[in-house]
Amino acid sequence: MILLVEDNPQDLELTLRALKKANISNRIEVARDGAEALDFIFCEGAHAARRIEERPKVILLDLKLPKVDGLEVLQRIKGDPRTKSIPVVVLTSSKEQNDVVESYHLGTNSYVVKPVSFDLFAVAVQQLGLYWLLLNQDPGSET
Amino acid sequence: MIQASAADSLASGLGRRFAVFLSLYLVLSGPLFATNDNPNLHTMADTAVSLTTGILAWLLWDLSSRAGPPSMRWLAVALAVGAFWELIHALAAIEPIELATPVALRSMLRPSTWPIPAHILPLGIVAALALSRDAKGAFKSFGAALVLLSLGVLLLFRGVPSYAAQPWHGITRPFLLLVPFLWMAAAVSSWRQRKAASLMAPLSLTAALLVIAHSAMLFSRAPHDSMAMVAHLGKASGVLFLMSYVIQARGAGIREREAANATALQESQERLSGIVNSAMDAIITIDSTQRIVLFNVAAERMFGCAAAEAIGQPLDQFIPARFRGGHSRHVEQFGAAGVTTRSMGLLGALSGLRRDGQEFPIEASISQVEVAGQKLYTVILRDVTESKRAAAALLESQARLSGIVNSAMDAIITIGSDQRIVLFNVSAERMFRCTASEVIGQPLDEFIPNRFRATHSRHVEHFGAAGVTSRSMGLLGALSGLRRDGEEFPIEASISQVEVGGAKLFTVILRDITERKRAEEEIQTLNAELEQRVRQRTAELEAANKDLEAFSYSVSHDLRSPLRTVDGFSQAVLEDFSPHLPEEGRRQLQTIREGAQRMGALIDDLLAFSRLGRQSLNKRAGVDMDGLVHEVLKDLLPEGPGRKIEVHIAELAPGNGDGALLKQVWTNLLSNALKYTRRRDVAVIDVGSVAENSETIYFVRDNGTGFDMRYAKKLFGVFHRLHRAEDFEGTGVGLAIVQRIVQRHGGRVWAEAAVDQGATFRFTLQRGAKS
Repeated sequence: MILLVEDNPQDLELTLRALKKANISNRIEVARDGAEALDFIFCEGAHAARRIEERPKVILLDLKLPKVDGLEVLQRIKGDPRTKSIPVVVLTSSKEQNDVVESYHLGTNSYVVKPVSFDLFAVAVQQLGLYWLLLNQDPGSET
Repeated sequence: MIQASAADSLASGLGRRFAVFLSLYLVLSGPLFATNDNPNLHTMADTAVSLTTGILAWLLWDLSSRAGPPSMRWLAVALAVGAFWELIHALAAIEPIELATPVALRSMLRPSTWPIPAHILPLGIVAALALSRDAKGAFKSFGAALVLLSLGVLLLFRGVPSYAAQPWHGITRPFLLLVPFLWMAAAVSSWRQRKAASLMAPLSLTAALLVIAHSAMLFSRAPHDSMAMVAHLGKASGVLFLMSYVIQARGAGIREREAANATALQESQERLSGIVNSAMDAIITIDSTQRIVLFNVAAERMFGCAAAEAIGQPLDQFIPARFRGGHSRHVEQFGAAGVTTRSMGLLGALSGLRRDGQEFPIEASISQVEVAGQKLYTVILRDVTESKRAAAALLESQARLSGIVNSAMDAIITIGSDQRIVLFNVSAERMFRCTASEVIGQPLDEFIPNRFRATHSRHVEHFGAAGVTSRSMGLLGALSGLRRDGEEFPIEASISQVEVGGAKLFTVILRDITERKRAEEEIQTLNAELEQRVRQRTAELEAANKDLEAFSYSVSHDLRSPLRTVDGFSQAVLEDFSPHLPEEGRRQLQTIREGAQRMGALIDDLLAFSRLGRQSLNKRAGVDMDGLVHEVLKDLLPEGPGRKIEVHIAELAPGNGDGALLKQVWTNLLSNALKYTRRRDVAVIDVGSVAENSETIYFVRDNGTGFDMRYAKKLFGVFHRLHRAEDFEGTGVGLAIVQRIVQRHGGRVWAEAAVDQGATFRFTLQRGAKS
């Protein structure tokens, strides 16, 4: 399972397209803002029925999000012992150095800038999937 | 000492003298026995005794008035009374007087007056010697007592017969038996006092002689017989002996005095001569004919002339010709006036004339003295060349000081220890708005604001006691002055003290710092304003920076998303609907994608450019520029065959700056060089550096298309391009980035080129560790 946190519907569509193009077969859960992402991860609100042990294999996290900012979401994930081992990839338009530094400071596992060119974007998503879903060994997730 | 030794010699000659008198007396006494009646001799002897005794009395009186013990005076009185009665006795023997005397008295006068001196004289001597110890000056009473006693003796002997009817053991005049004993007493008492006065020894001898004489008298049988004459001769010998001694003693005294006087005179003359010759002043004595009689050592020095040459010469030779007449008159008038000293030169400056003709100023005084009827004038001269010069120098120095004091910009005020003003210069007049004449003698307090007066007073006293000579005042805070019109103003002051003739003077130098204070305040206000403005500007800049950050953040984030949408969906259309699209449609969609991607590149470059402005410099010295250039070229140069590119890199001086940013500079410049030489068969690129002054100039030269220098100014502007995009791709940000990095390093960047002639880009960096 992959959790994709993205508020922009166009970007969401393009990302899903790129994931599809890369032949990623994993279930993809989408959260449209920071609050929703936290509810999902910590099994609260609409996702209260979900079991927390069902961890996403990777979380693709945009930074600029409504309600709860991406960096805060990151902080909550990495600050909780139950979720801190979930790999988080910041996938954002921002090339700002501050964002890069702050994200790594909070414990992100990767920081990827979305290129303007869809070709390049598609390549990036493909490589991310390849790495985090196939190559990377994570401590205790579903197989 | 001299007198003592004279007395000794007299004493030693006394025995011999007495022996002479005694033997003369004895020898002369022998013939007296030839005749038994010598009335004339009797009269002569009486006269001699009375005269001699009188003279002796006078001599002793005279002697005692000058020196000697008081007993001399008593003796003189006793001798005088004795002499008087001897005289009466002698006069009674003279025939006319005897005849003129009443017959009743005649029998008494001659025989009865004789015992009076015989008793009174030794009695007087014994009394005088006894009295001499304590009585003080009751001479008249003593004389009167002796006279009364004499009258008593006269009355006693009036009825007594001169000769006894019956001689007793040969003694014919037993009534006079007391007299030898009286003389014996006199001899003994004077002998006992022989140490007290030199006269006592001869007096004692005389008394002893008179004991013999009066003993002989006891055996006389008639007034003029041999025995009486022996007695008279003895009396005369005795008093003459005494007189001879006294006369000689007087003579010795006089000689001693004269000798002493002569010595004293000589000493005094030597002393005077010493003074005269050691005097600093020239001393010249002239006589009434104005010829020099004395010329001291100082005079020799002053006039350059030896005393031996000057003495006897007229004084005129030492007086400048034009003063000679005046001087002569002066001396004459002085002589006539009869005063003894007077300062000369009252009529103006005097001058002396040295032997060598040099004239010099003098100060002189003159005195006169009459010696042996001749007037001598003594002139005392002082060469005042030096003191005149010193006085002139002093005047000049005073004038100079006064000039300084009055031309000083600062106020100068001197006060005495009573804090009253003694000096007030022109600047002080200006500063306090009053004149010096108004304030001299006034207390300084007038110019000190009330609340500072006590403090100031203490301050000055402390300063005086501390004894330092100058000190800056106002260490305890701001000082203030008070103008006459009541205006207070800030001052800066220093104080110094000097002791003049035992009185302390304090000089205060004051500066009105109103203007300075005002200027200082103005500067402070301006500084505060400036700081305020800087703070405001900084805040504005910070706000602008924040805005820019927010702007660039949103550009980075929000502008790129829609572009990706445009590109991504154009791609999606191409992928999903390609078979349904005509060729032209696919081309147009491709163009849309290119536009979107180009805009993405522009945004990326713009963000990079804007970041440069905010990014802090990480400067280091000695950045390896050679290494940077090689690194950059390795990334840029296409591998394998293709273009022919020659790159010549001269050894590059190390640079001072941020290595990463300098790498960006080289990247942009070298990529430009490669880009614009694309159409050359062989691209030639030169890289080098030149040291110039404190800078290093780095350059990149190519043989590419170059550009028109008319547009050189636009070259470094953001998005400014001199070539069409279809000729050479690019966003127009590269050189702008180069310029910004170089400028942030404190350097300059410029380009030289011509169309189709290639271009050279140069930038400078500061050398050395600084900047």
